[in-house]
Amino acid sequence: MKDNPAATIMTALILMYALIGLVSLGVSIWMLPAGDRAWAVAGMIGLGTLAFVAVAVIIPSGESQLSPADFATLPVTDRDLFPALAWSTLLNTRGATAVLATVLATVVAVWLSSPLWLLAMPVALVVTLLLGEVLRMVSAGSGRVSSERMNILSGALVVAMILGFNMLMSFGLENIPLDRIGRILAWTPVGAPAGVVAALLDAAWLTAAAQLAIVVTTLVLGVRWWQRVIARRLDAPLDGVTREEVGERREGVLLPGLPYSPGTMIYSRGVRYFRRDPRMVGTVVSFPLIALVLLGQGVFFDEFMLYMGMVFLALISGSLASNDFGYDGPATWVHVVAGVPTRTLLLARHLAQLTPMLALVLFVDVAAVILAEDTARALLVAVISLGLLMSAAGLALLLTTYNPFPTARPGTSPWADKSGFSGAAFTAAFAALLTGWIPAAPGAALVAFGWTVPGVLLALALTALFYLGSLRVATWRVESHLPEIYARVERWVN
Amino acid sequence: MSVPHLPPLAPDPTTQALAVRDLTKAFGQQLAVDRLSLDIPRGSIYGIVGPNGAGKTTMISMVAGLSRPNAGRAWVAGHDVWEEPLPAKRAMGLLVDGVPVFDRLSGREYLSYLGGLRGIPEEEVERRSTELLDALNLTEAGPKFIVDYSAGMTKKILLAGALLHGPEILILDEPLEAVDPVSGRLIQQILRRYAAGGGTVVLSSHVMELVEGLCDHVAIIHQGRVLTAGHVDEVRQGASLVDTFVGFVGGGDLDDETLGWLR
Repeated sequence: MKDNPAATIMTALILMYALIGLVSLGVSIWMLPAGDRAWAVAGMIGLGTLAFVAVAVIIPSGESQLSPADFATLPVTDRDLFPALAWSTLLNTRGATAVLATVLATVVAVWLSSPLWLLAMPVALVVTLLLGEVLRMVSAGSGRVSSERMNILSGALVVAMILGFNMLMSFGLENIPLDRIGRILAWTPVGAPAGVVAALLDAAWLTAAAQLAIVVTTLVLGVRWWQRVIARRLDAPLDGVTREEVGERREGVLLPGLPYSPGTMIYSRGVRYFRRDPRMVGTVVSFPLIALVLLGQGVFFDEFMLYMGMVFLALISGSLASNDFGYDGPATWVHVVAGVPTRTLLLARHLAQLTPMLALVLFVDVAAVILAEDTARALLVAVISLGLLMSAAGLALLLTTYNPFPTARPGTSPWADKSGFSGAAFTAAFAALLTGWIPAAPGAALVAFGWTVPGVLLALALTALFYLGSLRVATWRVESHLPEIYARVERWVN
Repeated sequence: MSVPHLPPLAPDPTTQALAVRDLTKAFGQQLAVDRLSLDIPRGSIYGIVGPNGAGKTTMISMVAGLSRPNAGRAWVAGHDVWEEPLPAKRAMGLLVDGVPVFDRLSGREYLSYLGGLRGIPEEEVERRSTELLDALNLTEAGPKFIVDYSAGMTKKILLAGALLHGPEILILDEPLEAVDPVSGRLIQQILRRYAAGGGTVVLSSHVMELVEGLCDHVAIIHQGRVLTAGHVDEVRQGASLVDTFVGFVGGGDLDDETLGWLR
């Protein structure tokens, strides 16, 4: 863990969200009349189990160090391994978090509802750990393609979870339908242990019996399946690696409609890599989710979120284009040795990285103008956001050339990625948010004082000048320092 | 006792296929290449050998424009690599051992990409790519990404990429490592034909038998300097190249008592 700050920080984030969730849901339960709390407690426990299982899928590789296949050449059997592997689920931060959450949830449940919850919580913990392990093994594909697909899915899943959590909190603590959630989840393995106790407290004996049956079935089938997987992976584990055929693909590199030139080839390859490189895909999937949430909140809650969405997305639009050489990494040598003119290389690469965010910002701007009640104001903000986009893009050019940093190799799981927490990476991540608005500030100030047209023109002019100036400086930088830039990125981080 | 053979350097380095003068590169306090000077004549197949850490790859990096020397100069096909980088790079085809390429491309896409970068007409790139992929038995790889290639296939596609633009000089770092014997023989045939047609091959390798069988010139590099260089016969002086190499670089025999428990 000490060699992987990314995993440490992610674990801390998960712990933080778990505690926030526990406190929030605990308050929601407290707000209910005493007689109505049982199913709400069940809902809290069910949601906690669901979150744990999702995290087990998202962070499989960094946490689970033991694999049955590692023991295949040793004289051990699945019976020898199973107890140790079962106990090992507690010996990682995910398991420790589950134990801590269970203890705290028990305190909350007993205090707010009934001591009977002491019976359910240990069982719920065991079921949680078992389901997490089962799903982790199911989701861990054995080939490159399936592994990378899971990495992409896990990246999007994290963003969806965070957004879902925020949306749940936006209901207001008194309005979260926790008891309804509890009644539904109680009929599934994630909520059945809690459902048994809630049903008993409700004197619904048949319901309790049925849900107990679900618990027992889950435990028996889960353990048997786990043992079978261990046995299978001990026996010729390499035969289990599937050869994934990519099938017929006749794409070529050059994007349709573009003329044939070194610049368009570089641009085309960069754009195609958004689909082919899992490092890019996860990010590209996440940004539209964020945009949709901001638009949704702007429509359903507060129109200010529409304006904020346009500004925020414009400011972060350069984030994908802030480390072009880092993403190419050691493969940059291909460009160096091919003798591509540096301005062509820089601009083509930069525009490729900018393309997805440019499309997203334009989409959000148009959608916001259509959805806003105050169309004139939305249009004004949209125009200024284009200026902010130019400003962010200019900053991205400077960061790419003055602050290149090595990244993880393509296909690396985001949760095993150690590249994100260097000083250079932090600079790249936050520079635009902290300083990207500055070129647009004078124009925005004029707008604020009522000089709308001059203000907008000034904002656009200054940001355009900033972009052109950045391009000039960055070009000089690459022309004079390309070998030094290459030296900074010539090795993948992990 | 090995006697160094160091032929005089050409007065005009631009007459050589590749020439370096006093090339120096330090990484912190560590001197990786130490005032290295060498001439590689046009039309030769030149082997560069040396132990691990000798400075071979660092020298190649500086010649290829990937790493800036602390001192010294390098010429490729008569062009100063750092003063006239574009013509030097046009003349050069490079295969770097162990350094990734854009491996989310198929083999054909990779060649197409390189052809586009170098401004070769599309139809010509298509024709040459087909011939190269056929010659190197890579056609069956089809749409598979390079990341899914075996080590040998990867080496072959890198070689294809180095050959695509018909360079004047090929610089190959461990071109036959991880390549099966059949493909290895094929590659050697390609390299011999290329040199017979006027091209120059510079290859760095640990495999002395390869260097001895393929190359007509060799240089032994150790601790960033050339210890001996020239025609293979002049360098090995009647001994095998392995013995000559060990004689210059030094090496020890295993003590009888060591690893006695191995059975």
